[in-house]
Amino acid sequence: MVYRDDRYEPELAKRNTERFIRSDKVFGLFGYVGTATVKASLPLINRYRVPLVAPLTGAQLIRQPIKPLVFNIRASYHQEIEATVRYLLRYGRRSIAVVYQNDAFGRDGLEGARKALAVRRLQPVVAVTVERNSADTFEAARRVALARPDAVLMVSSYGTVASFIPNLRRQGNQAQVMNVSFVGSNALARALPPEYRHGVGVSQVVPFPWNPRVPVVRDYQNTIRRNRSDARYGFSSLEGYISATMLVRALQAAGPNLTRERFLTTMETMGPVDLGGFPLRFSAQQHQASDFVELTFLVGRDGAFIH
Amino acid sequence: MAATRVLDDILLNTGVLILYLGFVFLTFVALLLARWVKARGNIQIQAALLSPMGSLYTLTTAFLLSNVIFQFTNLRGALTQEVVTINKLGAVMSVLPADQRIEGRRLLYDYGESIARDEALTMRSGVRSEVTQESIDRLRDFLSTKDASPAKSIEVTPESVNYFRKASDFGFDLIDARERRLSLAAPQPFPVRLVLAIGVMYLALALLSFLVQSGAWTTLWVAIILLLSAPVPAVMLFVYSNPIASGLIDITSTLEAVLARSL
Repeated sequence: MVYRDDRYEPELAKRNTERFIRSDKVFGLFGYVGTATVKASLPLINRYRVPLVAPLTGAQLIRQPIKPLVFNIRASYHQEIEATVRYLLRYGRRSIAVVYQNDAFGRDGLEGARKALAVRRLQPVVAVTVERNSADTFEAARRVALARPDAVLMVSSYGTVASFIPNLRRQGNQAQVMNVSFVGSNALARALPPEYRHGVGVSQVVPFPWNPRVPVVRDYQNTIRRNRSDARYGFSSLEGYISATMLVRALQAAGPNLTRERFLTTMETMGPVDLGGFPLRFSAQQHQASDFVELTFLVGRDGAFIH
Repeated sequence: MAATRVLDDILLNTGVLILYLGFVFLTFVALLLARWVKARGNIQIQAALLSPMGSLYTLTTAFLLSNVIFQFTNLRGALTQEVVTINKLGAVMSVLPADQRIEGRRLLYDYGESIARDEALTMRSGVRSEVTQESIDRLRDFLSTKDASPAKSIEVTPESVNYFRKASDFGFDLIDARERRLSLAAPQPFPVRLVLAIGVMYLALALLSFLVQSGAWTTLWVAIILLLSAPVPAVMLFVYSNPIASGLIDITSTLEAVLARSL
C-alpha cells in the first residue's frame, strides 16, 4: 500500500493521483477523502481506467450518473441530509438555515438540503457560504443569527464548523447545529471548545463505533484493541475498516490472475456481502453499497456521542 | 433583595473564615477572662477537670460531625441515584426506532448537562434552575407521547420486555431523584443552637485550659493549640449549613462522568 496526504487540496490530490498511477503503478485507488479532491482526480482515473474504491465522500458527482470505475461504500450526502431534515421537522424545527462550503462538496449539500425541504414544501431560511479550510466564519454566523433559524445544517469540514459554532453562540443563537458525516466527528469533538460541544448533531454512514452489539463493530473493536492498546474508536476509522474489509472480500472473490477488468466485474457481480449487521451490495446499476444513515449527537464536554 | 443576595454571597464565600474568626474571638475572650480571674486572687482549679471538659467538647463536635457525614452520605446517595437513573433510562431507550431513540437520548442528556452546568451553580444558593426545569419538562413531554413507544414489531428480549413499565418507572425515578437532591442540598438556615453549643463548649474548654496553666510561654502555646484545632468545627459548621457550596460534593464532575461515555 502506498499512501499520500493531499491536505484536502484538490490540486495536491490530482498530483498525488498522477504519481500513484504513473510512478507507483498502483492497481487501484482507495479511500480518497473529499468531494473536491475526488472531482480533481476523476479525469485521471477515467483516462487510466484505475478503479477507485470507497472514496470518503457522499457527493452525487460520483453517484449520478454512475461512474463505472468508482465504487462507493457509504450513503450519499443527499441521504444523510434527508434523514437530518426528517428528524428536525419531526421534532418541530421547521426554520432551517444552510451553511455550506464554497466548493463541489458544499454545493452538493445545499442541493440535497433544498431537495429534502422542497419535498415538504419548505426552503432554507438562509443559505450562507464558508470557504474550505477556513476559520473565518464570523460574517456567516452573523447572517445566520439574523435569520433566527431553529436549526443550522452545516456542510463543511471540522475546522470551519469548530469556528462557526462559537461565533453563532456568541451572538445569542441557540439553534440546533447539524452536520453531515464528512465533518469528521471525532476531529470536530476535539476542535470545538468544550463549552460548545454539547448538543452538536452529526449524521453518520456507519454503525455506532461504541456499540459492540453490531457484529462488524465488535470485529472492528477487537481489531483495534489487538493492534493498539491506546487507540480510541471513531467513525472514520470504522468506515476505513468496513471499506478495507469489503475491498479484501472483493479481491479474494476475484481470485488469482487479478486484472482491473476482472476486479471491476467481480465488484458488480459478487452479490450481497454482509460484514455483520452491515449489508453491502454492488451491481452494474448500483455503485453505492450502503444506504445506512444514523444521527448522533455530541454530549457533555469530553467529546462523547449518543446515537 | 440585592443586599440580601450580596450578603448571601459574602457568607457563602467567606463562611468558614467568619466562623474561624468567631473561634479566635472566643479564644481571646477566654484568655482575657482567665487573666482577670487570676488577677483577682489565687484560684485552685484541678487540671484533671480538662479531661471531662474535653470529652464534653468532643461529644458536641462529634454530634456535628455525625450529622455532616449523614448529610454527605444521603446527598451522595441521591446524586448517585440520579446518575444511575439517567443511565438506565438512556439504556432502555435503545429499543426505540432510530429517530425516536436519538431524540429521547438527546433530551435525557440535555437534562444531565443542564444539571452539570446550571443547576449545580444555582443549588449553591438553594435555587432550582429554570434551564434544568425546562429540560426535564421537555423530557417528560417526550415520555408522554407515542414517540416514546417502540415499534409494534419489536423483538422480545430481556432488554425490551416490560419497556413501558421500565421507561415509566425510570422517568418518575428521575423526578424523585432530582427533588431528593434539591431537598438534601438546600442550604440550611444558620444552625444557631448548634453554633451556640459548640461555641459555649469551646469557650469553657479554652477558659479552663488558660486557668490551669501558668507562665506566658505555656499560655501562648495553649492559645496556639486551641486556634489550630478551631478550623475543624468551623469547617464542619459551614459544611452542615451549605452542603453544596462547601464543595463537599462536586455535582458537576459527577454528572460529567455520565456525559463522558458514548452510548
